[in-house]
Amino acid sequence: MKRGYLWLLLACGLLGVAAWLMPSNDPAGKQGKESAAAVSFPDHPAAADQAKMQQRRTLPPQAGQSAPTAPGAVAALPAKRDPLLVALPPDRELMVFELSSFFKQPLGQMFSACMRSDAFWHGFESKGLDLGEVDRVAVGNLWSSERLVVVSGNALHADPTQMYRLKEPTAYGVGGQVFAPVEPLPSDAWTPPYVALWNKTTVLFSTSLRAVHEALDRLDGRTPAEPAFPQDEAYSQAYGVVTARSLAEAVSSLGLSEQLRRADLTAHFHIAVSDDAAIVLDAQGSSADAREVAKALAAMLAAKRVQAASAHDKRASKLLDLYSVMPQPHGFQLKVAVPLSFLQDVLAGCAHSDKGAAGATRP
Amino acid sequence: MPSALHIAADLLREAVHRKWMLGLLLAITLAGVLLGWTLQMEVVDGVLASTRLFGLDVGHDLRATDMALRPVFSGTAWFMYVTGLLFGVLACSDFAPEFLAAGRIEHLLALPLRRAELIVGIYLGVLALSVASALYGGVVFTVLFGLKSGIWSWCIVAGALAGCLAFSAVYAAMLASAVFVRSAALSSAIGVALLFAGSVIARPELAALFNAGAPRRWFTAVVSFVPRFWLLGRLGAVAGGFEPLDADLLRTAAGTLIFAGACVMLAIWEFERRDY
Amino acid sequence: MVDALVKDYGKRRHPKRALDSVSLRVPAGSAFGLIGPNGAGKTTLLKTLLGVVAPSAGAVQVLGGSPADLGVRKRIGYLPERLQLPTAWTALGFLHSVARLKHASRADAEQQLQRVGLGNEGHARIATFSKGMRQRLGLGAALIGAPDLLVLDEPTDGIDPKGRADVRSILAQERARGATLFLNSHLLSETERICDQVGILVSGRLLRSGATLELCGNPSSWRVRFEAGTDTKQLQRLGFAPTSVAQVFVCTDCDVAELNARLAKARGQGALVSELVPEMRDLEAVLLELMGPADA
Repeated sequence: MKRGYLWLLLACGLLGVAAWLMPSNDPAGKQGKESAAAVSFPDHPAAADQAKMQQRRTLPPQAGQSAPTAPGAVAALPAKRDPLLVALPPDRELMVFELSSFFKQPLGQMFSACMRSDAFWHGFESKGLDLGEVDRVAVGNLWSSERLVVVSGNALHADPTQMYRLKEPTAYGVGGQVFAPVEPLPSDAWTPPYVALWNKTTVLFSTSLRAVHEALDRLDGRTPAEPAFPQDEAYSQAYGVVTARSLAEAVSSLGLSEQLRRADLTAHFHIAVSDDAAIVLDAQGSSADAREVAKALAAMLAAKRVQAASAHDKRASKLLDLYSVMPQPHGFQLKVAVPLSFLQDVLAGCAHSDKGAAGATRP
Repeated sequence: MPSALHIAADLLREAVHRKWMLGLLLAITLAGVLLGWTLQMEVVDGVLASTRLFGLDVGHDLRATDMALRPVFSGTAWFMYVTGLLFGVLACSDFAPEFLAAGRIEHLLALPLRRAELIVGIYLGVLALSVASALYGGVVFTVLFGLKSGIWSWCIVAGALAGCLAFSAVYAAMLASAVFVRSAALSSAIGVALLFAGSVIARPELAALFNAGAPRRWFTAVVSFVPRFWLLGRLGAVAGGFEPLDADLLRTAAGTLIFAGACVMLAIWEFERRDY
Repeated sequence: MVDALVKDYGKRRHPKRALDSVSLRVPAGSAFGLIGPNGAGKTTLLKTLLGVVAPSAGAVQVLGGSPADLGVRKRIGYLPERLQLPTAWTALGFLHSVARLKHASRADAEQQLQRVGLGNEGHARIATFSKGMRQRLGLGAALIGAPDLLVLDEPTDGIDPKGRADVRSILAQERARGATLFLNSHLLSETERICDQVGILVSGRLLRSGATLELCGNPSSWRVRFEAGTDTKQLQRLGFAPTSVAQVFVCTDCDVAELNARLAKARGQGALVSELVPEMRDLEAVLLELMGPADA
């Protein structure tokens, strides 16, 4: 009987081929081979965000305030406050943009161009305040005549008198300087006539002197004030609170406006921007409204996804794959990844808008 | 080699009478029937509005049905992959030892049949059995989810078949061990050990525990031919379009098949030189 | 044909020799019985003939070819000593499987099932079979394909007397068909009755082989029974010695010619012969003699 070693040789040869074919398990050889990370939804602050939030809390705690503690626990020290969030008026709607990180992204650059095309921001930049020095821009009292824009940075070299036709400043409070217009502006002009500087870290703009004063009072501690937005949620490149009405305005092209306008909802949102944008929106309000809007949003996004697929827009289709609408007892949480192209379409309008800063600051 | 196919057919006929196999088929069928009765999915405008299992709400978020079902499909595909492998190791460990039992092997070897054909026949029979079981389980769950949700994804079938691909390597090693030492227990142990090696030991994370340099090089060399089972498990998700097909996966699939071939040849080598 | 066959088992340095220079030639169409004590190497020799065991040295030729040749193996029917059958199968299923592997027809399998007396058990599970039934089934499997050589290891093991007679009958039919039988049985009487050629294997060495009659010795002594009324004194004068049995005489030291001459004389004197039996040693006596007192 032939009992050669042919089989053994073949077996050894094949084992060698198998070893050659198998992907390396050497971790050093794996560097750079990892696939692109999936879209990361800003549903919780990262460690770096936590550190940044702590760093920004430079205002002392409100007098007489103590941090809430569990029964029996040792009382914790009252938390320091973030001046930008304190300066904002307590309102149902506000928006904060982390320009310093946002402008580094393609979308941020578009947004920046959009802002610079606007007369207010153009003047804002060319006459003294470099957008590159700006850390954050926040807008409060969004739909009121007392809209307040708060700009923060580490060392702002703003000279409002150069920016607009303003009088010499008058001191207000401990660290505030208020600039008023030389002459009354036309009533239809949006450009805020009142500007205030606070401690070279914050610039306030408003159409209302009262709004400016109130903001400075809050900053100096003359008026007891809590941050207008939860300090622990101040992360991602854009965040804030909007009502269903604002949402309806923002997504009017999506066919949801009526349902949104009817709904009594307030939504905290966080937007993380890389090449695309990942949005997390926590809506709270009437249960019935929330349920209806949640269903409508889910169906709309499903339809958009199908449209993207049928248009062979693989990127949009892949991003829209990731959406989810999670109903909650009195609201819902929406997570959606929006392709850059969609946001470009949205921002395309702002560049040509004559609505001034309102158009510029609306996402 | 038709004789090998005859042996494979004989093995299948024997398997049909095995309680393990009947139990597996029964378990798959029962699971299918149970899910069919207890799983309720409400799809509105392409969105999975609600999912109820045994009357309880599961999965609250509103998502496109196919997206909502992705984790279910992927999870089921992984489940089929892992349980199929483990079940295969346990249920098929004694096929080869039974064929090689004293009193049976002499009879088979005296028939006009090459020794290699006998080994290949046993191997093909077990593979056919695993493919048939995988297809049955995969199709049952695919049809079930398809009927419930209107989404037809073959990733569960692909996951189960990926299990067959991985099992082809595991069983080849078990078969070789059974030829060297006729023991079902040892054969199972070899199968479990290879599964463990291919799922844990051959991972880069483990190699990273070794000091860079000679120790790590030795370790990676030793485990270099071990099939990467953790990678193969992704085949289901790839088939479903949830993950991209990458070169690592293709290389692993090819390497696994070649590893299986090497083990079968090792078994044939030992079988050819052995007296019974 | 087996020539100078050697088979060693175990370690290379201290092997256990199972077959030691065994040379054997079995004529085609004969019935060869291999006998020997337990552990003599009988089954090893059988397996060597079938290619199941590889010889350490020497040559094996079966049906004019090598046992490794599939064409040769197709012409061999084999019944192992302790056949392990797949118990979950039916008898017919098992025979069909063997028929497929031997490239024989299903009808052949069914015919052999009838032949071994299991025609009514074709669809019964093998698990329900007695040892004797399993042995018959194994024989039926060996018979499939009308083999030219039947190698049977303990074919009547576990079979009842009636079954043994059936097996003998089947084997006689196979011989009549022209098949060669190679039998290994510890039932020496069985071997004696079936085989015309015998080989005696002791401790791996083939001590004797040849025609059964030759092994048991040419008879030089005959036992003759005469009809009652025969003159006993006359018979004694002719050289027939009386025995303890009435009318039975022994003719010792007489070859066939001498026997016939004496019988002719007796018949001439009116004696009638009713039975004539050669007085020979049986295989057991031969085996015991060859093994010697210690081995016995």
